[in-house]
Amino acid sequence: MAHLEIAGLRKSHGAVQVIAGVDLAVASGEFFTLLGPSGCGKTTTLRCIAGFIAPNDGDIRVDGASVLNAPPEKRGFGVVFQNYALFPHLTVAENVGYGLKTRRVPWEEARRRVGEALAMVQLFGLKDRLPRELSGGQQQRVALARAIVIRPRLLLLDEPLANLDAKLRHELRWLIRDVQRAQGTTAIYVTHDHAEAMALSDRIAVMRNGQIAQVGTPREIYQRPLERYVASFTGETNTLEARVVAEAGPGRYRVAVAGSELEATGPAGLTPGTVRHLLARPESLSLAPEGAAGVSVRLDAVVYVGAALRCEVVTACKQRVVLQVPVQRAYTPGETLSLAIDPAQAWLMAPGEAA
Amino acid sequence: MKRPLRYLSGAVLALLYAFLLMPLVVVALASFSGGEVLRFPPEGFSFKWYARFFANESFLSALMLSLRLALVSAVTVSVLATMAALFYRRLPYRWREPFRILVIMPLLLPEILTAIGLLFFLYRVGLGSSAFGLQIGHIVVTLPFAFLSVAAALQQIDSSLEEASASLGAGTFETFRRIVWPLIRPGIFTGALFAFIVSFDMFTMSFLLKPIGGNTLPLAVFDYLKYDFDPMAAAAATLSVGFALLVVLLVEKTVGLRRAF
Repeated sequence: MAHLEIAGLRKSHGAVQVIAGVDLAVASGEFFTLLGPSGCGKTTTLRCIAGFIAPNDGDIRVDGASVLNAPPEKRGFGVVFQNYALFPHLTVAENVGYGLKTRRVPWEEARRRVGEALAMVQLFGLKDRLPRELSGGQQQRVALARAIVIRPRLLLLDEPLANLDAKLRHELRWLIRDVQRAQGTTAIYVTHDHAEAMALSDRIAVMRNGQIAQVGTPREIYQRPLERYVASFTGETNTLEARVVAEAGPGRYRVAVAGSELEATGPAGLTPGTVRHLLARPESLSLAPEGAAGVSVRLDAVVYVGAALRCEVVTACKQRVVLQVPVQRAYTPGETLSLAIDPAQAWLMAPGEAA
Repeated sequence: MKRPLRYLSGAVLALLYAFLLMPLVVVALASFSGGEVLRFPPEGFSFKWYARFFANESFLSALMLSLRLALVSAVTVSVLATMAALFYRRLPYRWREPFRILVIMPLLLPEILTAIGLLFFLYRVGLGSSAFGLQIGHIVVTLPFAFLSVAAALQQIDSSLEEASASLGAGTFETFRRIVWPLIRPGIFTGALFAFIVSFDMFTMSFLLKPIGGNTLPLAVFDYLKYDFDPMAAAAATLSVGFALLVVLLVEKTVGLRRAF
């Protein structure tokens, strides 16, 4: 149980700024995720926290005290690596007990705690195996047990599920969450998978080019992204150019999109005439027969994907929009329809590059 | 591969090995000769040349010197090579290759060149024609073998293992003792084995740097063959192969060569 603050963190390799000023505050017991594409500096940030690399500038404080002068072995953080990093010559139990041995924990207590940790990751029966005799998923469970058995102040996870297949990824995702909750450990999780980040995190920091683009709960990040980059990195997105016509209430606006006027939510203080990007997630859109309220569109393609029909429509301004609609009604490509957007989910973002 | 082709390649390989190993077999068989001249096929069978070998003062002292040189080389070189390999791995990328080439230089240069250089150097520092000087020569030549072996073993260790160990509370030394050392140990033993065999068989370096009144086994065999052409030389050569095999077997039994290589 510890809280973490990062202030003004910078790290460069030669001329390349890998971390270009990162500020973060993670509360005690929080599950916090650094989300971003490869090369955005998320892993470098995690490695700075772990103490494997030293930042050029800035400070990292845990429970108010700077850890920058402490080597990794003095920080007391548990680390889970993408490639598991199990000690190949030690058995499962020896791997898990390693951190207790270095701490000179008495043998009896160490044995009990190793047993508990292995039980927590559902691997007790395999304690005498060598890592190479385990599957990837089992190896990562051992790595997780090894990191939590020392009761770390922070649990740092660097893309722990990236090397596993989809089914195991799901299983282990919940295991990580359960273990973190049960222990009440503050966790910093690095991933490029937005679904993973959404499912696990209390809060997410979306990173771009060594900086934080936005910090928020999964819901905020997904529904209220500040810019197009964040939106496109957190799930499937449609963006439509929109011009503010008038303010309809606090944070509610009438906007002009592709020749039609509709209602959307946005940050406070947008003046009429401002051009913004309207975020419309596929599930916030619906199609109605021609003539209904909404934006007039032409249906370009329909694909049956089982649970829904996936439609691609084109607006009068040649903007392409993807949405999913219920399978009940039949659609024919080429027909003209009316595209409606749920005003509560239509969100005005700052213009900018997509991911 | 088609079956006839496979048989053919097998036959070619067998022929090649036979060609390479034949001299060794001939020498070994000749050493058990009962006659007085080194020839093949041997005349009769006896152990008398081995008995004479072990009764021969100069051969015995040469064998002892060779064993001592090889043993000291193997031990020293293991320590030096391990330190050099650890250093090599920590070097910034652009310094690595130059450092590696520097360490394996004695392997790349003709042994005679290294030996002549050392000869001048040792005389200058007052170690000319001394057993210690010869030992230095053996260490210089055997170091690259051990270095390559340990460096290869180290390369197998992902740096995340050391990071994991550090994050679990182990300092640099404890990480070395508990993680790095057990994982590179086979590589070190293999390197020591190479060093032993190379030192035991070394001729050129020993020829130039040999101490006054001292002889290594290969030199003693060479000297002996200059004047006498009897099977004792074959016995000495066979023994030298035997010692090398013995060391290999010893390593096989203790660490297991399959793990070491």
